[in-house]
Amino acid sequence: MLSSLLTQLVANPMLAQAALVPLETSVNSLLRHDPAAVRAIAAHAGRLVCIEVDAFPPLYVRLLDNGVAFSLSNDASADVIMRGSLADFKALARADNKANQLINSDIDMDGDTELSIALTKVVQQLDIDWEALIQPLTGGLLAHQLGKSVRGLFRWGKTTSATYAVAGKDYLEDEAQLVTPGPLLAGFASEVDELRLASDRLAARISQLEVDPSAAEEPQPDNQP
Amino acid sequence: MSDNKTHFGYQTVDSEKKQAMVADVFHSVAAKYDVMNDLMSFGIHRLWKRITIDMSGVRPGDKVLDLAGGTGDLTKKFSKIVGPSGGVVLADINSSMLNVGRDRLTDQGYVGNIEYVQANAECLPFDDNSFDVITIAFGLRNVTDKDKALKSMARVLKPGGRLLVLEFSKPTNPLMSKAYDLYSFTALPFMGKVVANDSESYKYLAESIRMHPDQETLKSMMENAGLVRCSYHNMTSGVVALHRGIKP
Repeated sequence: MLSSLLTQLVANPMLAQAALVPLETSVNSLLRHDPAAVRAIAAHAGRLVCIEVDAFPPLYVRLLDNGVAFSLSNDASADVIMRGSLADFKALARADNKANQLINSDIDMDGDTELSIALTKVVQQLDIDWEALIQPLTGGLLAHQLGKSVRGLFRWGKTTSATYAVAGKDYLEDEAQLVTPGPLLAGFASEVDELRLASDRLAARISQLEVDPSAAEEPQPDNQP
Repeated sequence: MSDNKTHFGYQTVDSEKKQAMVADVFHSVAAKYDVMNDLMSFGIHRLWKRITIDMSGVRPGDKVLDLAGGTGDLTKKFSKIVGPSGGVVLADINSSMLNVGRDRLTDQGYVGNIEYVQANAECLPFDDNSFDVITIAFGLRNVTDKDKALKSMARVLKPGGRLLVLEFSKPTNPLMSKAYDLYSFTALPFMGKVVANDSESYKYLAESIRMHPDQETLKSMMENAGLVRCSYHNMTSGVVALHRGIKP
């Protein structure tokens, strides 16, 4: 549904560009409140990054000296193309160490991979000054109080979600017993692996005996079945 | 149209007089040009120009000619993309428009990789094979001899370079065409009168758009100028078309 809507958008560059304007404006407004990020992006000004997610149309990100520009079509060849599934990009967005996640993920990178890693680091180190962002609307004092509250809310959200994740895991594994606990599953998998290896060895031995029955008289190592 | 006659809006004038008449129009509107563009197009001209940049394929280090660049909308964006290793030439035949563009860009800090040249599109003062990309946005219809101008642009393009012509064109939807006629012959001169105190210039704008070649004709003209892989893309139901061609 979303994918077909986006495909229709791409077919009409006017609509596509119009649809991207609010996103671009928002991103650039946020970037203006992190001068370090703007400087890091400006070091790559003029270069073009293409992000391809699953069946969605490609998103082109032009890096500029004062932010970024988005488009859904571009005739210039991209300096780097990042191609992957939505799950890969979600994992990248959530990762604490995004550069490592990018290198170890299934996201394909064609072109200047250093550029994509540099950009990932910019996103990783993004530190938006939220207080400065809302200060023109609320005034300094209220902005500071709001900023404090929002930061507290984020901290609480992070802690609470981590606690709920642990509690949910415990409930599913221990109370409801709907999911096998990790260590048990690992032990079981290890036993299955050993059994598989043993059966492979047995199969190989039987094949050898069929070819040369006299080999049955040869002494066998103790650990062979 | 005889050899020494041409259109100036709906009027037929001597070819050698058109250039001066068009110059008068742009001397008159230069100061309010950007405000009027936003008003007349409801800001959509920014999207048209943005798509032109996306379709230009311009890259860092490229040399770009923004012909009839006026107040420098495209030059500004190109300057950011080509960076210090590239360059943009903002050219316009009209000194008033060029002055407005140069002052505006300089005031905004766009310096270092931009040159300003007062030039006639029909005989561009550049060496052959000089530019990677040439754009002419809302300028070709004001040129007296369009074929000559297109040949001149093809000459200064590098082989493989591309020409982009962004220009008003013929609406593809009959309903849109009627609404557009009504808008451009009533609302435009009125806005010109109120904002720029000049209704005649905006009457000329509406008339010159009607006299400009339609999409297919302009495409043929570009092919005749020696460009290949010529194509066009209609925007806003054909009110504006972006033509592209590549120098072989």
